[in-house]
Amino acid sequence: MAVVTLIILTNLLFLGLLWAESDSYGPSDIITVLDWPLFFAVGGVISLVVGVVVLVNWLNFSRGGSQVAAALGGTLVQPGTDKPLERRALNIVQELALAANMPVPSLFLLEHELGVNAFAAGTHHTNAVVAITRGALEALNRDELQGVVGHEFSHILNGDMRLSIRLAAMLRGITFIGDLGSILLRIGSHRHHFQSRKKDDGRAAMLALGLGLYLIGLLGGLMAGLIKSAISKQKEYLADASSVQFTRNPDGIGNALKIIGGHANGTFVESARAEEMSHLFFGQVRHRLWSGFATHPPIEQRIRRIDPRWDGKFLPANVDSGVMSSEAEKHADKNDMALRAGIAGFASADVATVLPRNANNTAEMASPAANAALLNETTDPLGAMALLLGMLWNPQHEEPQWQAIEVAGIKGLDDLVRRWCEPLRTQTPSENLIIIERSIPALRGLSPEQYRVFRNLLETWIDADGKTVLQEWCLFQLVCHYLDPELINSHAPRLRHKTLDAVSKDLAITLGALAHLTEEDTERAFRRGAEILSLTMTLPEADAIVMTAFTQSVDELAACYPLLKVTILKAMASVAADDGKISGSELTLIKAIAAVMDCPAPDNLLAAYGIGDGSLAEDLVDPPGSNGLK
Amino acid sequence: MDTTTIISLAVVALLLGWAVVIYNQLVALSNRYQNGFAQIEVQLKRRYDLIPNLVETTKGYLLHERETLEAVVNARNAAASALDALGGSINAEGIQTLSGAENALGAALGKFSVVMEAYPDLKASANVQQLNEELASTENRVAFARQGFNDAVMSYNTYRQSFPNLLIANRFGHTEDAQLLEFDDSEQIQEAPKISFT
Repeated sequence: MAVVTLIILTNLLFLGLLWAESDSYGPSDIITVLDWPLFFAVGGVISLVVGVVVLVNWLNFSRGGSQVAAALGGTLVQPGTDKPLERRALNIVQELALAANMPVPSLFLLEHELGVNAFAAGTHHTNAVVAITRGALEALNRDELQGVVGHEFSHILNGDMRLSIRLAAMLRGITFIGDLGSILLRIGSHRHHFQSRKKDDGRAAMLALGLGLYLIGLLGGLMAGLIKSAISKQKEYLADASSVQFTRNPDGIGNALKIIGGHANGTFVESARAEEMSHLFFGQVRHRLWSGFATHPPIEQRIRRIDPRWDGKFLPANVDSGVMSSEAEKHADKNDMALRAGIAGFASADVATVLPRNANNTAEMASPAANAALLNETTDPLGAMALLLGMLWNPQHEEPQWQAIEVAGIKGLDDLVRRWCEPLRTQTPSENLIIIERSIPALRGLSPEQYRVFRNLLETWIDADGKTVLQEWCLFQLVCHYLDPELINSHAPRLRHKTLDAVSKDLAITLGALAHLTEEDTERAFRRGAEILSLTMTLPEADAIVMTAFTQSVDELAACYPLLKVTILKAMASVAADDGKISGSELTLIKAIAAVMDCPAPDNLLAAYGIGDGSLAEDLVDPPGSNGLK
Repeated sequence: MDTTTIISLAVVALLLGWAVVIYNQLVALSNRYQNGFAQIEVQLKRRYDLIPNLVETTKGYLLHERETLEAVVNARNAAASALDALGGSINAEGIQTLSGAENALGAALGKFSVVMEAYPDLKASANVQQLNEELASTENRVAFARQGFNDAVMSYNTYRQSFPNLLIANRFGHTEDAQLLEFDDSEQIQEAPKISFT
C-alpha cells in the first residue's frame, strides 16, 4: 500500500516536472507539449524496479528462519549437546513449545553477541527458529530465559514474523526510491563539466527529478519508520503479555527485563544485518536518539506493564549460578561472560573466586608468619598502598621516591612503606602477584581523588630510576586496569582488529617477551604460541623488546575483538607452559596483559590449557633463586 | 433454470459448505485436545524414566538414606502403574488415582531433595546437575502440557457451544463437552518439586 502510494507520488512528480518544462515553452496547451508515452514509460520503469526490489527482498527474507538466523551469525544448537547451558536452553524451548502447543522450533545461538537479546524468525511456525545471544544464555537464569523465549514464541504464534518480513521488504522498496534519487542527483552534478549548453535543460531536469525522488524516498522512509515503530511496539507489549500467559510466571520475563535494564551491553547486537531485522528481536538492537523510531518500547515501560509495583531498581546478571560456573570451567575458551564483564565484573566475581585459592597458597609460602602479616596488611587501603609502593622500592634511586611520598602527603603512608619495603624484597614473583591481587579490593575503598594521588605516586616511583621494567609495568597495569574504570572515568579502547594478522607484529613482541621468561627452549616456546595463532612469526631478540614497544603492542592487542583475545590468551598460556609449568613471573605477565586486554579470566584459561588447578597452585611458588622478572 | 432456482441452489451450497467448515473445525479441535492429553502422558513417562537414573546416580553418596530412596522409587512405581492403568483414555476415576500417585511422588522427591542438601559432594557432580536440570525441565513440561491440554479443551468447548456451531455439533457426534483436567489439590501439583543445591 505504502509502496503504491509512493509510486503514484513519483509519477505525479514526473507530471509536475514535465509540466514545468512545458511551461517554459508556453502555458497554452499542456497536452500537446507533454510527451505522454515518455511519461508512462518512465513511470512504468520506476514502478517495475521498485516492485522487483520489494520482491527480491521479500523472497530473501522469507527463506525460512534458519537462513535468517545464519545470516545474523547464529549457529544451530545440536539437540544432543552436552553443554549444560545449551542443554538448558534447548529444554526451555521444548517446554514452551508444549505450552504454546506448536512444533518445536530449532534453537540458534548467536555465539559472538554479548548483549542480552533473542529473536524469532521464519514465515510460518513450521519453519520458525528461535535464536538467543550468548549474553542471554549466560546472564539469565532458567525462569528468566524461559520468559524471553516465551516472548519469542508469541511472535511466532501471532504471525509477527510474516508481518515484519513484509514490512522489511516494503521498507527496502521505499528507501530504494530515495537511493535512486540520490544516484540521479550525483550523476546530474557530475556531468556538469562535460555537458554542452544545449543539454543544460536536460541536466536541470535530471537534477530536479533526482531531488524530487530523494525527497519522496526520505519522506517515505520517515513515515515507514514511524509506522514500523508504532506497530512493532504494540507487538512487543503483546508478546511480553503472551510470555506470561505461556509460562504463568510474570517474574520470569519481568526479572529478565530488569536484568537487561541493568546490563552493561543491554540488548544491543553487533551483527551488521541485525538492523534490518531489528523488529524481530526481544529488545532494541541499536540505540535510538528518539524513541519515535525505536522498534521496542523503553525497558522501564515494559517492566511496569508486567510488574506495576516495580520499585525502579534493575537486577544484576546471574553470574554465579551453579550451572554457569561449571560450564565456564569446562569451556573456558567460550568464556565470553568473563570477557564482557571486563574490569567491572572482575570486581564482583573474579576476585571472589581468585581469593580463596590464593588463600590456600599462603600456607605454602616460605615464611608463613611474615606473609600472614603482609597479607593482613592488604585488607586496609593504606596498607595496600604501602605494599604496592614497597614492591617498587628501588634502594639505588630511593631519594625521589621518598620525596614524592612527602609531596603526596598521605598521612602515615611513608612509615608503612618503610616498614614493609625490606620484607617485600625477599618475595617471589608469585607471592607478589598474590599481594597485588589481594590489595585491589581494598584500594577500591579509596575516593577518586585519593586514587588519583596514589596513581601518580605509583608512576613517580616507577620512573624514579628513569626506566620501566617488566615487573613494574605488570604491577601498574594490574592496579590501574582494575581500578581506573571505577574510580576515574576511563573508557575502553575502540575495538579495531578483527583478524590476528592485523596485530601479528604486536603478537610477536608480546609472545617474545613471554618466551624469554621460559626456563627451557625460548625458540620452542615461541613457536608453540605461533602455532596456536596459526601465524608465522619470528622470535624477536631479547634486547629488541623494549618497554615502549611492548606497551604499545599490548595496547594494540587490547583493541582486538573479544574472541581473538581468547585465542591470544591461549597462545600466551601455551608459551608460558612450554617448559612444563607456569612460573610466578610468567603468570604475573599473563595476568597483567589480560588486564590490559580487559579479559580477566586467565585462571580458567590456564586450567583449561591442561595445567590443572592443583599443579598450577604448586607452580605458583617459585623455586628460591629463580630469576623472575628482570 | 430461472434465477430463483439458481439463487436457492447457491444458498444451499453455501450453507453446506459452511457446515462442512464447522464440522472440520470441530474435528480439528477435538484432535488437538486429545493430542494434548497424549502429551501429558509422554511427559509423565519421561519423568518416571528419569527418577530411576537420579536414584542410581545418587545411591553411592546416600548409603545411609535407604528409606528416602526407597520411598522415591515406590512412589514413582505407583505413579507409573497408575498412568499405565489409564491407558490413554481420559476418565475421571483413572485421573483421580494418577493425581494421588503424583502427589505422593512429589512429596517423596521433596524429601529426597532435603536429604541431598546434606551432601555437598553431590552438588559438585555434573551428572546430578544434569539430571536435576532434566527433572526441572520435565516438571515444567508436565505443567505446560496440562496447560496446553486445558487450553485446547477450552477452545474446543467454546467452539462447540457457540451458535450456530451448536446445531452442527449436536447432529454429528460432538455432543459432549470435553473434561478439563482438574486435580483436587492442583496448587501442589503445579509446584514442581525443586531439587535445589543452594
